[in-house]
Amino acid sequence: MKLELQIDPALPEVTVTVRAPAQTPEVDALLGRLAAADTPLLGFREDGTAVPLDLDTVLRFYGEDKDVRVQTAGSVYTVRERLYELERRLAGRPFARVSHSEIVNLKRVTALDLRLTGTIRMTLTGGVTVYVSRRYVKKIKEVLGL
Amino acid sequence: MTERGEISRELVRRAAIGFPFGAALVYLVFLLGGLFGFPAPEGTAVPVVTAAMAERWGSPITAALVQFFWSGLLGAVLETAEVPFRLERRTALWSGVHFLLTAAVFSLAGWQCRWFPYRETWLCLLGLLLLCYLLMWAVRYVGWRQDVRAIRKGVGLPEEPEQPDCRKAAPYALLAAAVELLLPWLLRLLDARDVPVLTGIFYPFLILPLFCFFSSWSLAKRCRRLWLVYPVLCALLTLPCVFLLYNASALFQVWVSAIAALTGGLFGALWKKSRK
Repeated sequence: MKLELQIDPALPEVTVTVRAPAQTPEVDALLGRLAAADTPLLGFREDGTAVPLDLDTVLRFYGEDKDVRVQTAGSVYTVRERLYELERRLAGRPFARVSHSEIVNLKRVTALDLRLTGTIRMTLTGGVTVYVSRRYVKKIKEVLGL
Repeated sequence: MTERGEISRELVRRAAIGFPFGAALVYLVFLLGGLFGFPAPEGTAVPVVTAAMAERWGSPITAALVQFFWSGLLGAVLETAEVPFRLERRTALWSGVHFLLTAAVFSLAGWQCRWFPYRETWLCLLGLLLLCYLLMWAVRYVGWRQDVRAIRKGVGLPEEPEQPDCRKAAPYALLAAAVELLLPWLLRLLDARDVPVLTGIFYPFLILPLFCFFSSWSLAKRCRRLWLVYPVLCALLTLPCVFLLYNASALFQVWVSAIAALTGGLFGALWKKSRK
Protein backbone atom coordinates (compact mmCIF):
# COMPACT_ATOMS: atom_id res chain seq x y z
CA MET A 1 0.00 0.00 0.00
CA LYS A 2 1.35 3.40 -0.96
CA LEU A 3 0.76 6.36 1.39
CA GLU A 4 0.69 9.89 0.06
CA LEU A 5 0.12 13.13 2.01
CA GLN A 6 -0.83 16.32 0.21
CA ILE A 7 -0.89 19.55 2.20
CA ASP A 8 -3.18 22.15 0.64
CA PRO A 9 -4.00 25.21 2.81
CA ALA A 10 -6.97 25.96 0.54
CA LEU A 11 -8.87 22.82 1.65
CA PRO A 12 -11.68 23.45 4.19
CA GLU A 13 -11.22 20.09 6.06
CA VAL A 14 -9.22 16.84 6.07
CA THR A 15 -10.23 14.68 3.09
CA VAL A 16 -9.10 11.07 2.71
CA THR A 17 -9.32 9.58 -0.78
CA VAL A 18 -8.62 5.89 -1.22
CA ARG A 19 -7.52 4.90 -4.72
CA ALA A 20 -7.38 1.21 -5.55
CA PRO A 21 -7.43 -0.96 -8.71
CA ALA A 22 -10.32 -3.07 -7.26
CA GLN A 23 -12.52 -3.29 -4.14
CA THR A 24 -10.63 -6.00 -2.26
CA PRO A 25 -11.16 -7.12 1.40
CA GLU A 26 -8.01 -5.15 2.25
CA VAL A 27 -9.56 -1.99 0.87
CA ASP A 28 -12.82 -2.68 2.75
CA ALA A 29 -10.89 -3.17 6.01
CA LEU A 30 -9.06 0.08 5.45
CA LEU A 31 -12.32 1.95 4.78
CA GLY A 32 -13.81 0.36 7.92
CA ARG A 33 -10.88 1.52 10.04
CA LEU A 34 -11.05 5.04 8.66
CA ALA A 35 -14.81 5.20 9.24
CA ALA A 36 -14.43 3.91 12.81
CA ALA A 37 -11.78 6.51 13.53
CA ASP A 38 -14.24 9.20 12.55
CA THR A 39 -17.25 7.78 14.44
CA PRO A 40 -17.41 8.56 18.13
CA LEU A 41 -17.71 5.65 20.50
CA LEU A 42 -21.18 5.45 22.00
CA GLY A 43 -22.02 4.57 25.56
CA PHE A 44 -25.55 3.51 26.47
CA ARG A 45 -27.33 4.40 29.69
CA GLU A 46 -29.66 1.88 31.37
CA ASP A 47 -32.67 3.49 29.67
CA GLY A 48 -31.03 2.97 26.27
CA THR A 49 -30.01 6.60 25.71
CA ALA A 50 -26.81 6.81 23.67
CA VAL A 51 -24.06 9.17 24.81
CA PRO A 52 -21.00 9.97 22.67
CA LEU A 53 -17.94 9.18 24.75
CA ASP A 54 -15.02 11.50 25.18
CA LEU A 55 -12.13 9.03 25.38
CA ASP A 56 -10.08 11.38 27.54
CA THR A 57 -12.64 11.05 30.34
CA VAL A 58 -12.81 7.26 30.15
CA LEU A 59 -11.15 5.40 33.03
CA ARG A 60 -11.63 1.84 31.84
CA PHE A 61 -13.61 -0.61 29.75
CA TYR A 62 -14.48 -3.86 31.51
CA GLY A 63 -16.51 -7.00 31.02
CA GLU A 64 -19.46 -7.50 33.36
CA ASP A 65 -22.41 -9.90 33.07
CA LYS A 66 -21.56 -10.72 29.44
CA ASP A 67 -21.66 -6.98 28.59
CA VAL A 68 -18.88 -4.49 28.14
CA ARG A 69 -19.10 -1.43 30.37
CA VAL A 70 -17.23 1.81 30.20
CA GLN A 71 -16.48 3.74 33.36
CA THR A 72 -15.84 7.47 33.35
CA ALA A 73 -15.13 9.62 36.39
CA GLY A 74 -18.84 10.02 37.08
CA SER A 75 -20.81 7.32 35.25
CA VAL A 76 -20.88 3.78 33.94
CA TYR A 77 -22.30 3.04 30.48
CA THR A 78 -22.64 -0.06 28.35
CA VAL A 79 -20.91 -0.21 24.98
CA ARG A 80 -21.85 -2.45 22.07
CA GLU A 81 -18.29 -3.32 21.03
CA ARG A 82 -16.51 -6.36 22.46
CA LEU A 83 -13.25 -5.86 24.35
CA TYR A 84 -11.11 -7.21 21.51
CA GLU A 85 -12.83 -4.79 19.09
CA LEU A 86 -12.20 -1.90 21.46
CA GLU A 87 -8.59 -2.99 21.84
CA ARG A 88 -8.19 -2.78 18.06
CA ARG A 89 -10.08 0.48 17.82
CA LEU A 90 -8.10 2.13 20.58
CA ALA A 91 -4.75 1.18 19.08
CA GLY A 92 -2.44 4.17 19.00
CA ARG A 93 -4.15 5.77 22.00
CA PRO A 94 -3.00 5.49 25.63
CA PHE A 95 -5.27 2.52 26.35
CA ALA A 96 -3.92 -0.90 27.29
CA ARG A 97 -5.47 -4.20 28.14
CA VAL A 98 -4.44 -5.01 31.70
CA SER A 99 -6.29 -8.28 32.17
CA HIS A 100 -8.61 -10.69 30.41
CA SER A 101 -11.59 -8.44 31.13
CA GLU A 102 -10.23 -4.90 31.39
CA ILE A 103 -8.79 -2.12 29.22
CA VAL A 104 -7.63 0.98 31.07
CA ASN A 105 -6.78 4.54 30.14
CA LEU A 106 -3.11 4.81 31.09
CA LYS A 107 -3.46 8.59 31.36
CA ARG A 108 -5.77 8.05 34.32
CA VAL A 109 -3.40 5.93 36.40
CA THR A 110 -2.72 7.52 39.77
CA ALA A 111 -0.86 4.68 41.50
CA LEU A 112 0.71 1.33 40.73
CA ASP A 113 2.12 -1.05 43.27
CA LEU A 114 3.39 -4.59 43.53
CA ARG A 115 2.34 -6.61 46.54
CA LEU A 116 4.53 -9.18 48.24
CA THR A 117 2.30 -11.93 46.83
CA GLY A 118 3.13 -10.85 43.27
CA THR A 119 -0.18 -9.07 42.60
CA ILE A 120 0.07 -5.78 40.67
CA ARG A 121 -2.54 -3.24 41.75
CA MET A 122 -3.38 -0.22 39.61
CA THR A 123 -5.35 2.74 40.94
CA LEU A 124 -7.19 5.06 38.56
CA THR A 125 -8.60 8.54 39.08
CA GLY A 126 -11.25 8.52 41.80
CA GLY A 127 -9.69 5.56 43.59
CA VAL A 128 -10.94 2.95 41.11
CA THR A 129 -8.76 -0.14 41.65
CA VAL A 130 -7.93 -2.74 39.01
CA TYR A 131 -5.58 -5.70 39.12
CA VAL A 132 -3.01 -6.05 36.36
CA SER A 133 -2.50 -9.50 34.99
CA ARG A 134 1.26 -10.23 34.74
CA ARG A 135 0.79 -11.74 31.29
CA TYR A 136 -0.39 -8.34 29.99
CA VAL A 137 2.60 -6.42 31.40
CA LYS A 138 4.46 -6.81 28.11
CA LYS A 139 1.52 -5.32 26.18
CA ILE A 140 1.29 -2.35 28.57
CA LYS A 141 4.98 -1.69 28.10
CA GLU A 142 4.50 -1.83 24.31
CA VAL A 143 1.68 0.75 24.47
CA LEU A 144 3.95 2.99 26.54
CA GLY A 145 6.78 2.50 24.05
CA LEU A 146 9.07 0.91 26.67
CA MET B 1 -8.68 -20.89 26.01
CA THR B 2 -9.39 -20.26 29.72
CA GLU B 3 -6.58 -19.73 32.20
CA ARG B 4 -7.43 -23.01 33.95
CA GLY B 5 -7.31 -24.96 30.68
CA GLU B 6 -3.99 -23.39 29.76
CA ILE B 7 -2.50 -24.20 33.17
CA SER B 8 -3.68 -27.82 33.02
CA ARG B 9 -2.16 -28.28 29.56
CA GLU B 10 1.09 -26.73 30.72
CA LEU B 11 1.17 -28.99 33.80
CA VAL B 12 0.72 -32.12 31.66
CA ARG B 13 3.26 -30.94 29.07
CA ARG B 14 5.92 -30.18 31.64
CA ALA B 15 5.28 -33.35 33.63
CA ALA B 16 5.70 -35.39 30.43
CA ILE B 17 9.07 -33.74 29.82
CA GLY B 18 10.10 -34.00 33.47
CA PHE B 19 9.47 -37.74 33.90
CA PRO B 20 12.25 -39.02 31.58
CA PHE B 21 14.48 -36.14 32.67
CA GLY B 22 14.13 -37.05 36.37
CA ALA B 23 14.72 -40.75 35.73
CA ALA B 24 17.78 -40.03 33.59
CA LEU B 25 19.20 -37.59 36.15
CA VAL B 26 18.96 -40.03 39.07
CA TYR B 27 20.65 -42.83 37.10
CA LEU B 28 23.30 -40.38 35.92
CA VAL B 29 24.01 -39.42 39.55
CA PHE B 30 24.39 -43.11 40.43
CA LEU B 31 26.63 -43.80 37.42
CA LEU B 32 28.84 -40.80 38.20
CA GLY B 33 28.81 -41.80 41.86
CA GLY B 34 30.06 -45.23 40.80
CA LEU B 35 33.14 -43.57 39.36
CA PHE B 36 33.81 -41.95 42.74
CA GLY B 37 33.27 -45.01 44.87
CA PHE B 38 29.50 -45.48 45.40
CA PRO B 39 29.24 -49.08 46.60
CA ALA B 40 27.44 -51.34 44.08
CA PRO B 41 24.82 -53.82 45.36
CA GLU B 42 25.90 -57.45 45.49
CA GLY B 43 25.84 -59.18 42.10
CA THR B 44 26.06 -55.97 40.02
CA ALA B 45 29.03 -54.33 38.37
CA VAL B 46 27.68 -50.76 38.24
CA PRO B 47 25.70 -49.14 41.08
CA VAL B 48 22.31 -47.87 39.78
CA VAL B 49 20.46 -48.32 43.08
CA THR B 50 21.60 -48.29 46.69
CA ALA B 51 22.55 -51.59 48.27
CA ALA B 52 19.81 -51.07 50.88
CA MET B 53 17.19 -50.69 48.16
CA ALA B 54 18.36 -53.78 46.24
CA GLU B 55 18.09 -55.72 49.48
CA ARG B 56 14.63 -54.37 50.18
CA TRP B 57 13.18 -55.27 46.75
CA GLY B 58 14.88 -58.64 46.48
CA SER B 59 16.90 -58.00 43.31
CA PRO B 60 18.76 -55.04 41.81
CA ILE B 61 16.61 -55.19 38.63
CA THR B 62 13.31 -54.89 40.49
CA ALA B 63 14.83 -52.13 42.61
CA ALA B 64 16.02 -50.30 39.47
CA LEU B 65 12.52 -50.48 37.96
CA VAL B 66 10.92 -49.14 41.15
CA GLN B 67 13.52 -46.38 41.27
CA PHE B 68 12.77 -45.53 37.62
CA PHE B 69 9.15 -44.86 38.56
CA TRP B 70 9.92 -42.76 41.65
CA SER B 71 12.71 -40.72 40.07
CA GLY B 72 10.52 -40.10 37.00
CA LEU B 73 7.67 -38.95 39.23
CA LEU B 74 10.04 -36.64 41.11
CA GLY B 75 11.33 -35.20 37.81
CA ALA B 76 7.74 -34.64 36.64
CA VAL B 77 6.85 -32.75 39.84
CA LEU B 78 10.03 -30.67 39.81
CA GLU B 79 9.57 -29.70 36.16
CA THR B 80 6.17 -28.19 36.96
CA ALA B 81 7.63 -25.86 39.63
CA GLU B 82 7.30 -22.80 37.39
CA VAL B 83 3.63 -23.35 36.56
CA PRO B 84 2.22 -21.66 39.72
CA PHE B 85 3.89 -18.41 38.58
CA ARG B 86 1.53 -18.36 35.61
CA LEU B 87 -1.44 -18.10 37.95
CA GLU B 88 -2.56 -14.55 38.41
CA ARG B 89 -4.14 -14.90 41.82
CA ARG B 90 -2.71 -16.56 44.93
CA THR B 91 0.62 -17.17 43.21
CA ALA B 92 2.50 -17.40 46.52
CA LEU B 93 -0.05 -19.82 47.96
CA TRP B 94 0.07 -22.15 44.94
CA SER B 95 3.83 -22.01 44.88
CA GLY B 96 3.81 -23.04 48.56
CA VAL B 97 1.41 -25.89 47.78
CA HIS B 98 3.73 -26.99 44.98
CA PHE B 99 6.70 -26.96 47.36
CA LEU B 100 4.81 -29.15 49.86
CA LEU B 101 3.86 -31.58 47.08
CA THR B 102 7.44 -31.71 45.80
CA ALA B 103 8.76 -32.21 49.34
CA ALA B 104 6.25 -35.04 49.87
CA VAL B 105 7.17 -36.80 46.58
CA PHE B 106 10.87 -36.27 47.26
CA SER B 107 10.58 -37.71 50.78
CA LEU B 108 8.49 -40.66 49.62
CA ALA B 109 10.79 -41.38 46.67
CA GLY B 110 13.84 -41.12 48.92
CA TRP B 111 12.29 -43.42 51.50
CA GLN B 112 11.20 -46.00 48.91
CA CYS B 113 14.55 -45.90 47.10
CA ARG B 114 16.62 -45.71 50.31
CA TRP B 115 18.43 -42.57 49.12
CA PHE B 116 18.91 -41.09 52.59
CA PRO B 117 21.31 -43.01 54.81
CA TYR B 118 20.60 -40.64 57.72
CA ARG B 119 17.58 -38.64 58.80
CA GLU B 120 19.79 -35.54 58.78
CA THR B 121 20.60 -36.08 55.07
CA TRP B 122 16.90 -36.00 54.25
CA LEU B 123 16.30 -32.86 56.35
CA CYS B 124 19.30 -31.13 54.81
CA LEU B 125 18.16 -31.87 51.24
CA LEU B 126 14.66 -30.64 52.09
CA GLY B 127 16.26 -27.43 53.35
CA LEU B 128 18.13 -27.03 50.07
CA LEU B 129 14.89 -27.61 48.15
CA LEU B 130 13.19 -24.88 50.20
CA LEU B 131 16.13 -22.57 49.51
CA CYS B 132 15.74 -23.20 45.75
CA TYR B 133 12.04 -22.28 45.97
CA LEU B 134 12.78 -19.10 47.92
CA LEU B 135 15.45 -18.12 45.41
CA MET B 136 13.10 -18.79 42.48
CA TRP B 137 10.44 -16.62 44.14
CA ALA B 138 12.94 -13.84 44.86
CA VAL B 139 14.20 -13.79 41.24
CA ARG B 140 10.64 -13.60 39.90
CA TYR B 141 9.72 -10.87 42.36
CA VAL B 142 12.69 -8.73 41.36
CA GLY B 143 11.64 -9.10 37.69
CA TRP B 144 8.05 -8.04 38.45
CA ARG B 145 9.32 -5.12 40.49
CA GLN B 146 11.40 -3.89 37.57
CA ASP B 147 8.36 -4.16 35.28
CA VAL B 148 6.22 -2.16 37.69
CA ARG B 149 8.94 0.47 38.02
CA ALA B 150 9.15 0.81 34.22
CA ILE B 151 5.38 1.17 33.87
CA ARG B 152 5.26 3.74 36.71
CA LYS B 153 7.84 5.75 34.84
CA GLY B 154 5.99 5.29 31.53
CA VAL B 155 2.67 6.59 32.89
CA GLY B 156 4.39 9.53 34.55
CA LEU B 157 4.04 8.50 38.18
CA PRO B 158 6.68 9.72 40.62
CA GLU B 159 9.52 7.29 41.37
CA GLU B 160 9.20 5.28 44.57
CA PRO B 161 11.07 6.99 47.40
CA GLU B 162 14.50 5.41 47.73
CA GLN B 163 14.96 3.16 50.77
CA PRO B 164 17.54 4.16 53.37
CA ASP B 165 20.89 2.34 53.08
CA CYS B 166 20.41 0.35 56.29
CA ARG B 167 17.14 -1.06 54.96
CA LYS B 168 18.77 -1.99 51.66
CA ALA B 169 21.60 -3.73 53.51
CA ALA B 170 19.36 -5.71 55.88
CA PRO B 171 18.68 -8.63 53.46
CA TYR B 172 22.44 -8.93 52.81
CA ALA B 173 23.15 -9.13 56.54
CA LEU B 174 20.45 -11.79 56.97
CA LEU B 175 21.77 -13.81 54.03
CA ALA B 176 25.32 -13.56 55.36
CA ALA B 177 24.10 -14.78 58.75
CA ALA B 178 22.33 -17.73 57.11
CA VAL B 179 25.35 -18.68 55.00
CA GLU B 180 27.97 -18.25 57.72
CA LEU B 181 26.06 -19.39 60.79
CA LEU B 182 23.75 -22.11 59.44
CA LEU B 183 25.22 -23.49 56.24
CA PRO B 184 28.34 -25.04 57.83
CA TRP B 185 26.10 -27.01 60.22
CA LEU B 186 23.92 -28.23 57.35
CA LEU B 187 26.99 -29.23 55.35
CA ARG B 188 28.40 -31.07 58.36
CA LEU B 189 25.24 -33.19 58.40
CA LEU B 190 25.76 -34.08 54.75
CA ASP B 191 29.50 -34.63 55.08
CA ALA B 192 31.18 -37.99 54.95
CA ARG B 193 32.09 -39.22 58.44
CA ASP B 194 35.72 -39.98 57.56
CA VAL B 195 36.75 -37.11 55.24
CA PRO B 196 34.61 -33.95 55.70
CA VAL B 197 35.04 -32.64 52.14
CA LEU B 198 32.09 -30.23 52.26
CA THR B 199 32.98 -28.43 55.48
CA GLY B 200 36.74 -28.92 55.14
CA ILE B 201 37.27 -27.88 51.51
CA PHE B 202 34.12 -26.72 49.68
CA TYR B 203 32.81 -24.35 52.33
CA PRO B 204 35.95 -22.43 53.37
CA PHE B 205 37.66 -22.35 49.97
CA LEU B 206 34.75 -22.10 47.54
CA ILE B 207 31.33 -21.27 49.00
CA LEU B 208 32.46 -18.73 51.63
CA PRO B 209 34.77 -16.58 49.44
CA LEU B 210 32.40 -16.68 46.45
CA PHE B 211 29.42 -15.75 48.57
CA CYS B 212 31.26 -12.89 50.30
CA PHE B 213 32.65 -11.59 47.02
CA PHE B 214 29.40 -11.55 45.04
CA SER B 215 27.10 -10.41 47.86
CA SER B 216 29.49 -7.55 48.63
CA TRP B 217 29.65 -6.67 44.93
CA SER B 218 25.86 -6.46 44.79
CA LEU B 219 25.67 -4.46 48.05
CA ALA B 220 28.26 -1.94 46.86
CA LYS B 221 26.16 -1.30 43.76
CA ARG B 222 23.14 -0.47 45.93
CA CYS B 223 24.62 1.28 48.98
CA ARG B 224 27.18 4.02 48.83
CA ARG B 225 28.96 3.54 52.18
CA LEU B 226 27.62 0.51 54.03
CA TRP B 227 29.56 -1.93 51.84
CA LEU B 228 32.67 -0.83 53.73
CA VAL B 229 31.21 -2.30 56.96
CA TYR B 230 30.13 -5.52 55.26
CA PRO B 231 33.61 -7.19 55.21
CA VAL B 232 33.80 -6.66 58.98
CA LEU B 233 30.38 -8.24 59.42
CA CYS B 234 31.35 -11.18 57.19
CA ALA B 235 34.52 -11.72 59.22
CA LEU B 236 32.70 -11.54 62.57
CA LEU B 237 29.98 -13.94 61.44
CA THR B 238 32.52 -16.68 60.72
CA LEU B 239 33.73 -16.69 64.35
CA PRO B 240 30.91 -18.68 66.02
CA CYS B 241 31.29 -21.60 63.58
CA VAL B 242 35.08 -21.46 63.74
CA PHE B 243 34.98 -22.09 67.49
CA LEU B 244 31.86 -24.24 67.75
CA LEU B 245 32.15 -26.41 64.64
CA TYR B 246 35.84 -26.27 63.71
CA ASN B 247 38.74 -25.20 65.92
CA ALA B 248 41.30 -22.40 66.06
CA SER B 249 43.04 -23.77 62.94
CA ALA B 250 40.01 -22.58 60.91
CA LEU B 251 40.55 -18.95 61.89
CA PHE B 252 41.80 -18.31 58.34
CA GLN B 253 38.09 -18.19 57.38
CA VAL B 254 37.90 -14.78 59.06
CA TRP B 255 40.48 -13.36 56.62
CA VAL B 256 39.11 -15.29 53.66
CA SER B 257 35.63 -13.81 54.15
CA ALA B 258 36.85 -10.28 54.91
CA ILE B 259 39.23 -10.10 51.93
CA ALA B 260 36.66 -11.62 49.54
CA ALA B 261 33.98 -9.18 50.72
CA LEU B 262 36.33 -6.20 50.50
CA THR B 263 37.43 -7.17 46.97
CA GLY B 264 33.83 -7.73 45.87
CA GLY B 265 32.82 -4.38 47.36
CA LEU B 266 35.63 -2.57 45.57
CA PHE B 267 34.68 -4.15 42.26
CA GLY B 268 31.02 -3.29 42.86
CA ALA B 269 31.83 0.32 43.69
CA LEU B 270 34.08 0.64 40.63
CA TRP B 271 31.43 -0.96 38.43
CA LYS B 272 28.84 1.51 39.74
CA LYS B 273 31.17 4.41 39.09
CA SER B 274 31.94 3.27 35.53
CA ARG B 275 28.22 2.94 34.79
CA LYS B 276 27.60 6.50 35.94
